[in-house]
Amino acid sequence: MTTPILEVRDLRKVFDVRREQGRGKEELVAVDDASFTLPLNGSLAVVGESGSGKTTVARMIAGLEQRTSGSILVNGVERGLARPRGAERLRRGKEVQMVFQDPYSSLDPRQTIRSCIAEVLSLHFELSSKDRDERVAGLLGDVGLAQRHASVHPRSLSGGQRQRVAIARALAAEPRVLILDEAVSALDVSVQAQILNLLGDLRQTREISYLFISHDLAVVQQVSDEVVVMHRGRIVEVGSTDDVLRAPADEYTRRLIAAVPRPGWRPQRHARTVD
Amino acid sequence: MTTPVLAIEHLHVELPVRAEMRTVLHDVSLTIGPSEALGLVGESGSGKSMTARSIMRLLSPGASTTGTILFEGVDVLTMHHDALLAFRRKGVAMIYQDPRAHINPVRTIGDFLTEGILLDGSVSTAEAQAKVISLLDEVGIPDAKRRLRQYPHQLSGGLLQRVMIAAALSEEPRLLLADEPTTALDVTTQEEVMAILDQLRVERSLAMLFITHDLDLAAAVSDRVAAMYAGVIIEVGDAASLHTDSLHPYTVGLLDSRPEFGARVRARPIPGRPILASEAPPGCVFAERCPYVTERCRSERPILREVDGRLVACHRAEELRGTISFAGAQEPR
Ligand SMILES: Nc1ncnc2c1ncn2[C@@H]1O[C@H](COP(=O)(O)OP(=O)(O)OP(=O)(O)O)[C@@H](O)[C@H]1O
Ligand SMILES: Nc1ncnc2c1ncn2[C@@H]1O[C@H](COP(=O)(O)OP(=O)(O)OP(=O)(O)O)[C@@H](O)[C@H]1O
Ligand SMILES: [Mg+2]
Ligand SMILES: [Mg+2]
Repeated sequence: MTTPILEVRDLRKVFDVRREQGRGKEELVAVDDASFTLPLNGSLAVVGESGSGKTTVARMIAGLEQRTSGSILVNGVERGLARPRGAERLRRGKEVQMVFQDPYSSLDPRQTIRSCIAEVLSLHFELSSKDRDERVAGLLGDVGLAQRHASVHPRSLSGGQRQRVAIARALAAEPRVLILDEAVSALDVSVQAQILNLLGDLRQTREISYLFISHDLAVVQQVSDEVVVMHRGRIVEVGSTDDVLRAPADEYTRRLIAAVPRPGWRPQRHARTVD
Repeated sequence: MTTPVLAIEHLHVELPVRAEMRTVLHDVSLTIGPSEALGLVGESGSGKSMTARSIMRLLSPGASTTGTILFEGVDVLTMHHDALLAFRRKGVAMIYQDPRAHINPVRTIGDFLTEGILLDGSVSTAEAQAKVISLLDEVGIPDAKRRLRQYPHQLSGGLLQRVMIAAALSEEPRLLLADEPTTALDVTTQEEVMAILDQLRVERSLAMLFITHDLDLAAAVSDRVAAMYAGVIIEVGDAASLHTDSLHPYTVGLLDSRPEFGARVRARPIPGRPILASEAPPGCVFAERCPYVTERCRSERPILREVDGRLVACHRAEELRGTISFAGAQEPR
């Protein structure tokens, strides 16, 4: 068996949060012993409602958040708890890249699109400036942006266009794992469809694996082979995307699926505990 | 026929952008009856929020507006100060996508909700409290007394959106403008919030303009759906048959772009990029991206006309009916 590109075991994150009323702190278990594997060139989706711990899992894998316990293996190599520096940090950047939901805050407003992508290229590759510009042009084309966009600033782009820049920027490092945290949720359907097709194509043409976080099950179904369902920090169901969506075993997964608007669907009020 | 709660006729809106007037809405006509929900869909920048803001007369200074916006037969655009205030306070209410941006973070939920009711001067604080508690109960928030003492940051997005709905209903409006009220929420919370809106609309005979870019959601919770592109309404039709009977290539393209739940097929996005109303060519606004474009489409703007019981702005609607596909279209580069 080939080594999975990513494996997490008993991943746990506990936040200290201020008590709602009164003084003192209490512990909030955001991620509760999550384990899953992402096969090489695979696509694994993480779904679940708001606050279920999806982003926290992603941030721990991307090294943006310290885990409380558990292990993260990238390409079979365990990631230590110490904050990486210098060359190690660079190497990890080539292994895992993350794209966030909010394209407004993830781009530097003072940089042109070209320099924002070129920056990542120079960090990871030795390139002549001509080759670099060509790569920038290629990446912009890959995400469906026009060449004239290279010379503009983020503020003059629409939300969808900014998100495509964020994806192009993440792809520039040629990471082995791309984590997309609700990265297409805010996009218009036509742009979203374009990006979903792009992600599918990339997986055919290069060795890239996706950890795809979303609460949109129709999208998840299109881009992932396997799915992990999270509920209140715990993984309640894992399986092939088609199986889980067709025949969900867990009660919570069933509720999630039942809430997807589709022809013939009517919203219903459910007696549920309010947070 | 009953008078519609809202009747927009030939609304044209231009906004000043760097000393130049820029069209954002062009010849928009829409009606909504009591208890009716009209879905308004379209891509980002198509003019959905501008339509809602025009109804509230909340456009930026310097905006130029022509046409009429009749609320219960009275033109909002020519209302004088007092009438406009009364309309905004009691006739219409608005719910936004991001409740956190529309609520004062340092005031309690209780203060926020009672404020409007107390403004009248005719109710006591205790009466206002009681009313607010019953409103919170109506939107499915139990333990309302405790919630009243809490601050916005202590509430989840779904709860806060319900508080906003409660606030919107406190003045018993007849028209509700809901601008992407669930876009920031996850699906289970969205279902809850939409079900509440749906129920309230029926119980209170509310007319609702429901803005969203989710066509499946619009189809599910509206009676009719209007699709907008570049500031122009290009199609209006029965919501139940949106997926099967849509006539305009743009509407069909939007429906095809969306991954279908339950099937795994490659999406067929509409080629090209959306244009702004101010960039619209003299002919059909969608001409540039339409696989069925003809010379006539480029030179003559199609008007909304009735075809098969729907309203559609396409010269070729009859001829293309049921055959539209973007499958062969070049994917955008
Ligand atoms: N820095 C933090 N400090 C304290 N609590 C946090 C922090 N980050 C996240 N949490 C809490 O951890 C839980 C999981 O949050 P997380 O953002 O991972 O959820 P999510 O599944 O990504 O939700 P969403 O769909 O809303 O993005 C939530 O209860 C959240 O409030
Ligand atoms: N203050 C303004 N001055 C000039 N143009 C504006 C102003 N506000 C918005 N616009 C333009 O008006 C057009 C319509 O915007 P609107 O906000 O109605 O779009 P929308 O359909 O609600 O999009 P979204 O789905 O992104 O909310 C856009 O092209 C936008 O750039
Ligand atoms: Mg998240
Ligand atoms: Mg809007």
